[in-house]
Amino acid sequence: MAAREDDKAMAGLLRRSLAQDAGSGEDCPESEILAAYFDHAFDAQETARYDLHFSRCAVCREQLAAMARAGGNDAAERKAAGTWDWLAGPRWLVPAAAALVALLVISGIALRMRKPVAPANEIAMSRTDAVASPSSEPSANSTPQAAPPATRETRLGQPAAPSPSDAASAAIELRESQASRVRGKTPAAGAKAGVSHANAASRRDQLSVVGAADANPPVGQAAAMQPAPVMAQQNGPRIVRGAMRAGKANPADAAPVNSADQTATSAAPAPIPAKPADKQVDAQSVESDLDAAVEAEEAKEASAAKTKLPATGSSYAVGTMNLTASEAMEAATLAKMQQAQISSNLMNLQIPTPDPKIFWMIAGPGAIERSENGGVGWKTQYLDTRALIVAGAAPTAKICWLAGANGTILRTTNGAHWKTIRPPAETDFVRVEATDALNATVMAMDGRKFSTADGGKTWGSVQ
Amino acid sequence: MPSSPAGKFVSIDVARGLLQKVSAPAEWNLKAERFREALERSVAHRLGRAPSGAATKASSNLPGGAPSNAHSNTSSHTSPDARAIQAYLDSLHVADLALACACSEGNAAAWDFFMARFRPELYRAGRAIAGEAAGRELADSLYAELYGLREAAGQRKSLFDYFLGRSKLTTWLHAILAQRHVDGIRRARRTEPLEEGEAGEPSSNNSAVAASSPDPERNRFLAILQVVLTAALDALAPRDRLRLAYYYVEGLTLAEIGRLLGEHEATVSRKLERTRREIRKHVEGALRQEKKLSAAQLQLCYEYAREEWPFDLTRALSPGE
Repeated sequence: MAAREDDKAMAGLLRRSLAQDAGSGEDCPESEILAAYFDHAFDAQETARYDLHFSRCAVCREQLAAMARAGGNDAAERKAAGTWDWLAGPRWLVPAAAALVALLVISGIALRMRKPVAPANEIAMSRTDAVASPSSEPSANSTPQAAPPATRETRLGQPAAPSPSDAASAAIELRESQASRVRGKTPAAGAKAGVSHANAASRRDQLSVVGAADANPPVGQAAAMQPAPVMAQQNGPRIVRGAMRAGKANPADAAPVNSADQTATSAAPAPIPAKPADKQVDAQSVESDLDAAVEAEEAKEASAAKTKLPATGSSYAVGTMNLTASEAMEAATLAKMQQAQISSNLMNLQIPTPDPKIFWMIAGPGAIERSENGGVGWKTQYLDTRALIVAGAAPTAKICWLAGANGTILRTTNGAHWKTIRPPAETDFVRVEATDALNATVMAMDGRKFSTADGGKTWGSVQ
Repeated sequence: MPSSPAGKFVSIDVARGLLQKVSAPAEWNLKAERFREALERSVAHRLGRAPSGAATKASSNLPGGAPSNAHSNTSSHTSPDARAIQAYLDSLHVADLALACACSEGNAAAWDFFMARFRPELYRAGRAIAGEAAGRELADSLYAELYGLREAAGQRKSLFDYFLGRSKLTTWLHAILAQRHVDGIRRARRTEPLEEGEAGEPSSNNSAVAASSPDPERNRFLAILQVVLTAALDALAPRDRLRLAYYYVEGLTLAEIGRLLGEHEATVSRKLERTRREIRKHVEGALRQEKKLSAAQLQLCYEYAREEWPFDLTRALSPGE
């Protein structure tokens, strides 16, 4: 399996390299073109031309990816978009009886949806289903494509919130909740989290299906991560080591990681009180490193004139004298990496919760990932900001506070949705502690501390 | 109807014929001339400006004429031949175009149809793209914009006028939602100014950071690996690079990637695997031959890279290796 491990190693580098694609210089095509490209309306030549642009343009790819996630372009829908569906449409809106109108519109849409079931029954059915539906085991995914005809299964079903306003929407959303149930995703929780989470989860499940011979995906991937309790132990020292390597461990995390080790073996003694104690021990040395790290990151983000390149700058200058072109490129990359290393190491920030199987990890600017099974599967959650997050604290499996540069403070109380909290000051925060959804303390880089007891509505200075 | 004046791609007869073919409901009150304009705009966008001179009636049997210009935006004098225009018209989603036209005219019946048929889809797609709250907002604002008409130079201008029928109407709506969503994200990304007062003193701490990295070798190896990888990626065919980017950067499923590239899931999986193998071969070859790394150092490279990214981005693509 050595090759597989190497692939994992490359994955991160691949991602970083490809994410930097800035476009091929020509203007990005407008939406009409992207839509036509998406629907494969172009001939080979035009397609190749746009393939080339997209292969170098991260912006267009982001848009295309969003369109792919919007889904809904399976064959059935294509047929439905033909001409025959006029008949069930507006002509029926004219006649008198409103009930008749509604019923006929619904049945017309249901016809197009390929499963003409009376809406009332459907709603009843779906409610029961939604209530009863558990998060099915991954084995349910073993036939994602062979799912019963009720599905628009190729569209990654966004499990819809129940009680839509009009019956027509109901018909459509029911089908989605059926589809997503068939695919074995947790409906309600997943819905709250937005489909990107479902996508991430289903992506991983789906791929484990496609690579079917890989019989036990969790185990297969466990070369890096053992399941459940053992995981925490393995991961703990690993993360600490990884973080320590750069000498920039987040004090908020270094301690919980250790306590996660403890909780893994014993039955979860309250890790929260343990945190502050441990923290003080590590606090000083690590903190100054962290301060330096955050400052370095900010300096990097500031305009070039203000950034003072450190030793790397000078070593590059000296180095270039005798270097070949490729060595010079390496030196430049080295310099860039040392700068980026700070952000990338901080991007590996892990935030444990009292449950050793559940934790978050900063995935990159604007995104955080959450695992509920010890790191095997991940769901991406989007934050409203792309600022650097340097600290987090999760007093429960569902409550988590994040803090970072530029007055960034975020909080979730349901483990999925993040809300921006108005900070006590527009400064960089380097640490956050929290005991629950209402009580938290943040520390700014200059040492100031602020506390809230009402979930961030008001803050008070503390000492 | 008199024959179409010079300089038009689409005659009124053609327009009327297409309207009949898709059975556009009478309630939409869509005039043939109005529809002809829309078709004309679409053809012109694809096949170039209307030629000055010979009338081109797609429906009549014209002689072959000038070789067709398949490229858009060519303002040459050769007119696209009738066959090209006809082929293009055949490829259009005429029904959707008719609906868009009628809506752009503000016809109530057409709007009712759009609302019933497309509005739920709009909101579903918005949520799929941007999450519950943001998605709803996204869909709200697009819907409002579609509904509204702007007066520009005395002409009613509707967002629907931008729809050219080359794609399905739903896809077009998805594309606009996606574009606005991505724009919003990128805009937020850009506006994060550093406040001077709070930044503290960056200077001397940087060198502390750089020096405190306990493994200078590590950075060197990672830098080498990065350079070699970039070269390997540059050598990829565009579609292979696209496939990789969709997988690793956008995190799309195999099905979604297949939808984008027009490939079956299994094909996507197979090709991704092949591309990764290619890259690994390229990278290892370069590391060994060009950079003269030993096997042990190569392994070290991977080890460092893996530590850099401890969470697993690779999913089981194919049975074992």
